[in-house]
Amino acid sequence: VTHRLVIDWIRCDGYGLCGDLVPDIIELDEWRYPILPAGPVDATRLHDVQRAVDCCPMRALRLERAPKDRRSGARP
Amino acid sequence: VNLAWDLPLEAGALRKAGLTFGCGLVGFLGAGACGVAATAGIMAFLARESAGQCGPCVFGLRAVADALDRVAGGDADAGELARIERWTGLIAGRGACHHPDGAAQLMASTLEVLAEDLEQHVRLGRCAMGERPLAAALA
Repeated sequence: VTHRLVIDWIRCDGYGLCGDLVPDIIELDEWRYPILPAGPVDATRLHDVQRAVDCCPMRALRLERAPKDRRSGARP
Repeated sequence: VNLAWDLPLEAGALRKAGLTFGCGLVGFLGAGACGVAATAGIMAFLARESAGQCGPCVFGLRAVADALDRVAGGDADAGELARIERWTGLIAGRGACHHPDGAAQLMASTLEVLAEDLEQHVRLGRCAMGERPLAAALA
């Protein structure tokens, strides 16, 4: 099982805590809205990423279990 | 670009040619019209029409529209086009709806199709369209 980051853009208000906590995984744009990685989250970093998810003041960010074969971040 | 002139304005036909209807807006330009100014007008409209729910759309579209307005008006600095390109790349796929995706697509194809005109606006600080009709720019 792999995990990927999912965001509710309507909830996100650009506090940017996620990007501050795991800057190597979540980049912030100049308005402090996150730029999420397209692929699954590195399994060794799940703990840190979960902390970033838990710290989201808007509860906009979540970590989702994704089947290994499903391509994440793909746009229609 | 010439290929597009022969296609019917229909989503299926455009898709087959590897194109899309984008945000579904069609703007007709007169022979002497400035494509950059016209696009700046459409981008300003699309930025205003944001539902205001998602940050990348609210701030990103506004930033792109304002920057393109500066380019159209000849007030842009040398880094403006690079900023527009970066912001445009950060808009698509980062919203709850596809309004920003369509707007970003229009901006992306403008950067490609009107690249020369955009450069001229930045370099000369004005529009050079008077010397070069739009038909020539699109050929």
